[in-house]
Amino acid sequence: MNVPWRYILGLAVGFVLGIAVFVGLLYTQLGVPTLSTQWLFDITNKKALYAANFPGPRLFIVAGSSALFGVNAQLIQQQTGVPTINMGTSAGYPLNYRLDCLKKIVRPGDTLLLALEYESYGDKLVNYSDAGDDYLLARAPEYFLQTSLLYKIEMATRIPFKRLQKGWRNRETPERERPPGLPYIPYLPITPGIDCLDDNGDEVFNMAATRHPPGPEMQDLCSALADGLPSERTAGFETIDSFLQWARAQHITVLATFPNIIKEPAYDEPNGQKAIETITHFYASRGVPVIGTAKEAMLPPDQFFDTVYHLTHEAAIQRTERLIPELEPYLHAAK
Amino acid sequence: MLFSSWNFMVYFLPVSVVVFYLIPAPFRTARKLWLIAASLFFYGYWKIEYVPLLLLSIAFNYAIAEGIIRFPDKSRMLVITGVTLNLLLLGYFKYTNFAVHFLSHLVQRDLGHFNIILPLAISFFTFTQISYLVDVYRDRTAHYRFLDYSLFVVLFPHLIAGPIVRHWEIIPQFIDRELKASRENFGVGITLFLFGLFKKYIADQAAVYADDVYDGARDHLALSSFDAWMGTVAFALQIYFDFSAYSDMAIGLARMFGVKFPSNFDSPYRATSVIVFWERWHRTLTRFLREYVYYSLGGNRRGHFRQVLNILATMLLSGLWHGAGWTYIIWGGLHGIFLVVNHQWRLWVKQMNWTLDRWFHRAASVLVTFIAVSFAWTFFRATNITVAGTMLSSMLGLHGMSLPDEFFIHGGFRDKFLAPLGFHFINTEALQIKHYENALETIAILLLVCWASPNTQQLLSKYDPILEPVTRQPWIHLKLGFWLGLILGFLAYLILRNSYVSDPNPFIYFNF
Repeated sequence: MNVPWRYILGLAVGFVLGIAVFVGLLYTQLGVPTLSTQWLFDITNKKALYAANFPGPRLFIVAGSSALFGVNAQLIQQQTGVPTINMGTSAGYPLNYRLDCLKKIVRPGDTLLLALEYESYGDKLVNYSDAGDDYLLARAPEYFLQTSLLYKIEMATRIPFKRLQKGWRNRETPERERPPGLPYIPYLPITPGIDCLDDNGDEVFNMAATRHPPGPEMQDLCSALADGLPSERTAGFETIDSFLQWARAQHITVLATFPNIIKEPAYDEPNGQKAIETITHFYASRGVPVIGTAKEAMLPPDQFFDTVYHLTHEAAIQRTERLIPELEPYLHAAK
Repeated sequence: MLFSSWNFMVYFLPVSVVVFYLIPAPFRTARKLWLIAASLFFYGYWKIEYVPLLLLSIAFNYAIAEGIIRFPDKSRMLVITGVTLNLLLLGYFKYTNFAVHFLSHLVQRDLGHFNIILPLAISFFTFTQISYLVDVYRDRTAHYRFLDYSLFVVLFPHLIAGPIVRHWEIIPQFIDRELKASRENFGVGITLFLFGLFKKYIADQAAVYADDVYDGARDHLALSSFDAWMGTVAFALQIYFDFSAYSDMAIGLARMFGVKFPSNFDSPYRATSVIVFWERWHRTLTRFLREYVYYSLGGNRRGHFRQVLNILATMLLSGLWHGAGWTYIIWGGLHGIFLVVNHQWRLWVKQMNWTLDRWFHRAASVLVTFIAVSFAWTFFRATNITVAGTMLSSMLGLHGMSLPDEFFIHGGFRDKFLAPLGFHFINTEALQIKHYENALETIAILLLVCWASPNTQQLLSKYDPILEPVTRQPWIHLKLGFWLGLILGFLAYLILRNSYVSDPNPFIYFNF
């Protein structure tokens, strides 16, 4: 029996219909807030507000949570006199989006210190993550709308059913929002949020009295160092390269350093060394000064509290004090 | 690259199909070269280092076959050399460590471990080529061009996990039917592939329950008889849908390129005996074992006792082929015993002049066969004999028949009916099996599908989906029209979404 054209057409139409239904579902819940995205929304806005309050050239620490917990912007500001904002949030959010937000905050004359987590240089965590998709849908509809159709189709394809259900539920009955003034816990037991931010955007939740106890995540190996970053042809390097070009055109000075991470013997293996060489070469070839070495940022486990990237407050102060003398010459040059 | 993976479905398959269909029909050699290149890429994607081994194996076997044809007086020596070297290669990669461990155990000394990575598909391409050598030796007319022979061996739809195809059923299609790029081939092929994709999704759901229970047995967690049976039946369903999915996808993929494969899977859980089960489960492997092992050993031609030995030997070899481990050997041995008992039963029924063809006879036969097969699957799934022992002792109630406290916690049914029957209740919370009710419902529905619904080749029988005619006609046929296409296309997108979000489990038969 012959297979009619109608059947092949039906297959194609059904497939396209599937895509259309799911892209449509994304549109129906754009901007519907979710509780899981509230902390990032809050701290990003607060940090942007702090930044706007400082006149003149500023220093921004750009990274995920390794800088949020591991670099003390207040101390840098006190010792150098340069207004400093810790823009660290979470490396789990797409690097593209984070850098795009940063572009709206910085201005000519500013200095940026990129202390990006090693994973940011690879292919993952650059364009999307589950947390990132959640955030873009709930809190950044304008960013979602400006993405390409292909990106929207990819997002519709990867977004879990549970997230779509949550969006729909929240349209009707919003999740319990944190009442102003109350702590995030128990409203959001995973992260402390803005209640623990100081006026420079540093998270001070990592003090002995409040921080989480050591968790199993402290045993994790950083995949980018364990598996290596064999070349600069990754989505991460491409995204950063494009950002560096933009910053140069805007007369913004960019410096780079390595993120704080728990020291592991595996990172001394060829894969780890190659990854560090690749990153160093990447910045050097683009005229971006690299402050300190990767080894200086690899610290003993007792200086971290819950993940391989989260320094305790005391360790963050020590780390910042070591960083400042290396940073100062560049800040004075920028002035 | 898994057939159900994102990379395969979104990149590899569309590119290989589109280029194939763009090559004009008169350029048949170009189509063959393209298919060989795509197949080698598919194989090399896993580990490029083993592509030369595959190519060497093809060149070696082709040369031996040519030798057999050209030098008839040396054909016996050549076929023995060819088969032996193939088996040595397979033995080296697959069985060296098993043999070393066994010897270590015998001599009570650690003889070490070799760092050997089993090349993907080696069991399948070795068997495919052994059958070719033996056929050429038996009938020296099977002479093909090297290009056709190479394509026959590497053709990616069957390369990794079968069907174990025979040269005489595949290579003539390269020549006679010109690897036709037609709407019919594409339509039937994609339909079979999509059915396989849906089944793979089902298999992965069943795997969740099976893994929970078998991991619990491995970790020495409290396991009730109920849990053990549920895990075993869940695995029986997982492997059923997994292998059925693979077979449908392989047949569908080949069909997209104008090649028809033989049937490999034909509703085996509807078999009324273990003999029939093996006629329906992995049919091309059964055919291979029957024709090249069982018959070579003498089959049933040398008396009843010898036939029993031949069945046992063949099934033990089948077990060993599936994996280098005692659990696989015991699984094969158990099936050997089942087959022997089944043959005896048939003789007995014949002698007693019984006619067991009423519906309830058939239903009971199907149930008994399913229980026997599921029982044997315990060894197939267990990671070692200890785990299999734990599972079986729970299933057979060697420490008393037990039920999970959590599931039967409510109602008087437990105390009034189950307890007096001798069941005791144990706390199985550590197993962390979630949603017992869902598991039971899922298992019940899937069993119903296995037992009552027509299989893919029956549903598509009007479109000649397989090489041979579909023998048993179903109560329903599919008509490929717009609305069916619309539904399948929509479902295909849903499954594709799933493979984007989470990597599908590898096909179970990819391990062999």
